[in-house]
Amino acid sequence: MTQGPRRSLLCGLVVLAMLPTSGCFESHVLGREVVEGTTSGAQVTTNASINASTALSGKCVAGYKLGDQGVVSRCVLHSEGLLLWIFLDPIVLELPAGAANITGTFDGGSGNTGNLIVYPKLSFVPVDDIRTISAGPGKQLVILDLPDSAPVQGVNYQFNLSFQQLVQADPGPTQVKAMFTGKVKAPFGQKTFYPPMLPCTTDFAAVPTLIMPRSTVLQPITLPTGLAGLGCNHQPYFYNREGQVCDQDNDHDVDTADINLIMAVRNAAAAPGDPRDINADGWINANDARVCTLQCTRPRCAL
Amino acid sequence: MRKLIVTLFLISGARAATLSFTPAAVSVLPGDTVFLDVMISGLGGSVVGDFDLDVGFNPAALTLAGFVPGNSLGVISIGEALDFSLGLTAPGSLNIAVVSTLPAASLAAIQTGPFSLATLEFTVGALSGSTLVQISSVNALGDGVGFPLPVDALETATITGPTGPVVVPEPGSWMLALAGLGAGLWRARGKTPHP
Repeated sequence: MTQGPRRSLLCGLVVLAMLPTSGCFESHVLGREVVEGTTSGAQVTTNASINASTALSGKCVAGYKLGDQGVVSRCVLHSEGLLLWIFLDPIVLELPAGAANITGTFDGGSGNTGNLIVYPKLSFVPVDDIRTISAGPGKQLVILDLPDSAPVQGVNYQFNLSFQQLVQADPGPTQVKAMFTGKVKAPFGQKTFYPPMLPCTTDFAAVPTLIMPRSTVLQPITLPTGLAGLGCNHQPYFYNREGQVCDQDNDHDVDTADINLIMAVRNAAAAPGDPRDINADGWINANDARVCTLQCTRPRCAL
Repeated sequence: MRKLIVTLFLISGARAATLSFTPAAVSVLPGDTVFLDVMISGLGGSVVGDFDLDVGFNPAALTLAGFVPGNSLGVISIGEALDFSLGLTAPGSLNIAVVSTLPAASLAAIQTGPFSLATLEFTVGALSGSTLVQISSVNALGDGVGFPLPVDALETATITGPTGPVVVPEPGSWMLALAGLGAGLWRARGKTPHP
């Protein structure tokens, strides 16, 4: 009976002693885009090794190597809670709004393969109590993440991402923006937050653009230069409010706008942890919206 | 990809909803207007907090003139319920979806007995025989707190034109029947003992 608490305390001390270090180390990024008739298909592949850690409130460090550029990004997590946070390395993409069939796979060798978790067609991604990443006009945000079961320490992964879109006429090379973020399970509530680490901005307009090469075979994607100056410099992120899962736009209330965001992607399968699958049954539908109308801040879910 | 939540409840005593149309059968003439209510019944003590249905019909026989979601999940015009209906999503496919903003206790006071989820208005076209209107997909049907409500029956509405449902055997069937009759007579004749 007395061993349990001692073991927990020991684990807690070990976690406290860890410096939360995280990051992707990419050796190359390849991509291609093929336009056939009215369909444009794009594929991106890259290698990355990921370090991850769990941390209590405190400093966080993420190191990245993109091509021949090394970047260190530092942040400070502020919370009055002493609950365990998980700090991993999801990627938030900004893609054309019409991009569909977005799928990704990972291969870490030794049979450690599977599908990436993909949350497509997001309009908002919560950063912390006071900040939110928003999709630009005609764009959607997509979160890519490894499933919880995938090992992340010291594993070199091959990632593959593809998506398609219908095009009326040749729209020119598809432009993609990507942002490395952390992943924070807030100590209050069940909401998950994605604090930007590289570039250290919540404004996708400030994120360098990647141009998909038109080719039948994978080609190197030209990475933006000057990334070294885009990491966070002890950027503070705050997690003191209760994160309501129904607050889809992260504006600290639940109203019709949040219900609309759920119903905008209704009747679609959801990957585990999708922020719009409120009842976690693997589907986004009107039942999720109903759960949230019961949590509306004001009567009749008024704005 | 649509989510079909229709669950056949095989457990004895479990309550499951029935979706149907009122009237279930109607006789019409070309040019007539037909109103159909999408009804839900058999809820036991449960209430409906949300629904998302696809209604299928033959667009060659019926033209959708309009549809109005009911107020049984709350009055839509004052925000007691939110209308997410997509309307016609393809020829012959109508989507109706409503999510209530009222608490379950308020819904229980409104939803007594079978009630209408929506009223559909069709104009009858060149209809010979009969045509069906049916629930083609139940994308979501939730109770007062958003749990899925099982559905055990999807009933159709039959709209019958002036000629009525007349079963006319196809020419091929006549030929087959005649051939069979001829073969039978021939065999019977062959077995007749000759004097």
